[in-house]
Amino acid sequence: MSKVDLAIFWLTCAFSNMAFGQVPPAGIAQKMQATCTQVCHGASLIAQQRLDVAGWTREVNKMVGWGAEIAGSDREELIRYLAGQFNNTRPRPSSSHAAPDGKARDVFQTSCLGCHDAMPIARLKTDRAGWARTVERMVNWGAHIPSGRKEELIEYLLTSFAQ
Amino acid sequence: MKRREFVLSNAAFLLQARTIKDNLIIRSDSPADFETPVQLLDKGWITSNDAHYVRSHLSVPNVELNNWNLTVEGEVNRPLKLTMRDIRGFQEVTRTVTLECSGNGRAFADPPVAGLQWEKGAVGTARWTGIPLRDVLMKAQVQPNAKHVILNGADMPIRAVPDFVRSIPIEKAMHPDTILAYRMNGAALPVLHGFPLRLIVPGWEAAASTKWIVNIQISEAEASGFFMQTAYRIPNRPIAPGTLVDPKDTIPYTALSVKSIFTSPLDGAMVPMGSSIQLRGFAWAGEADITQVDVSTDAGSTWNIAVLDNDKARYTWRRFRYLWKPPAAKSFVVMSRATDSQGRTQPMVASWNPSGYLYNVADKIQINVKG
Repeated sequence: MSKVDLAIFWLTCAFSNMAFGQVPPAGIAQKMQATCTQVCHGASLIAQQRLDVAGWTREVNKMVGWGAEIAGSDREELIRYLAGQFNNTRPRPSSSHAAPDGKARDVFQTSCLGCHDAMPIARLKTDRAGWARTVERMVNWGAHIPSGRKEELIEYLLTSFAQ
Repeated sequence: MKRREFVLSNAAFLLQARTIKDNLIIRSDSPADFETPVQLLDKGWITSNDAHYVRSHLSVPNVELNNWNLTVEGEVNRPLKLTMRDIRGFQEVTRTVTLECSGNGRAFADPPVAGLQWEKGAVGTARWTGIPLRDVLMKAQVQPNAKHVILNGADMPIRAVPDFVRSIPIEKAMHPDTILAYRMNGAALPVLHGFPLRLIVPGWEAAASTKWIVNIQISEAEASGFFMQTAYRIPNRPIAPGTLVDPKDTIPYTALSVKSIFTSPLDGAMVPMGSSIQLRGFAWAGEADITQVDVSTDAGSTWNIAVLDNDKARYTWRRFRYLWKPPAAKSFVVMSRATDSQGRTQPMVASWNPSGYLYNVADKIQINVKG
């Protein structure tokens, strides 16, 4: 992902009313990409956590100890961002929960409910283009959509969670 | 390896990995950590290779068999360097084993804890074929002072990330059921599951079952790194949820707890009034046997004994079933609670630890009956 793509990605996130709503502090996005998600692990490992400031501080310090290059001056800002976005107010995963019938129900359960419950989805009244944007955002955060089934999932969301 | 073979082996790996990824819940793309949806666990007593959960700590290595060796060294009289042909020369055995990641259920920890947020499906049962580890150790002539067997895989850390190195006590290593496996459910061991050779430590939390093994070190001391001295440990005393614990106040754990999960119906399922439904799932207990599974359809007020399927082996889960006809059109809280041959029963309240290990509270689902 280029820096331009990354900027667009974060900008898109800013207009989301889902969990990933806040633009990270200037430069943090690039630093997270360069240090965390492009080198050691994917973005989903971050997005699935539900930690407070103390918990994120421990995790960031552990990562720094393991070689993540985060300047001391950036560390506090990064922790504040992570704790603000990925904390205990986020819905928990619920992949073993029943879901509406439909062709892509299995994808919905593994790719969507595997990360969060259906509440934020049920609240998101949107059209096909809106669902397509939302799915793309989730993919950017590490959601895996099985090969060739993205359109099926968008159709399922549109049908199951009416505007 | 010739170029054509290299291309084919990589293509096969990518295809295999893609199929597995498409079936499972991707907790982490890299390292590869994939969870089995309970709907797939429900399909049978044996978990297929495409559906079995995957746990990795580092990047998955692409091992070329032509260049692969297993070295055995340390406190032995005869250090070994074995090829796969040598490995195949030992007496072959098959063990059916339920493996469970010790963090299975971490997503339900309250307060939340850091780590992969596994729900119910970091567990699976497969037939593992290989050779007893003790046969290799005996060939190497382990010295009397040996107390631990340290295992290292071909997966390599980057930067200052600690290598994933674990050890098991010599007694467990010498147990005839502890094996070095090269086949899974009759097929060549998939790359994501440790090709070409992995350890299977039956009944123990699955982090002991090192994948992609290349080196075995016989030692007087257990492995010294992060994944033995800091991770995979629990507090040495009960603690209040949310309490931090110094590593010196922790102990390593080995055998799995007693546990059960529902695999059908799903939590929140809607069923019609007037018909009977089969409540089913799996129960397992590490080195112990499941002796009974109780099911409650009234949120734990009363309990009924479930039927256990005949499929069983020394270290595997048991399928339980309970046929139930809902008495009214309303929502029911249905629970399962397993008991094992060591007298352990699943707790009704989850015990908490800072890493979310060994979550085994009685399982609970809601079933909505409509008139």
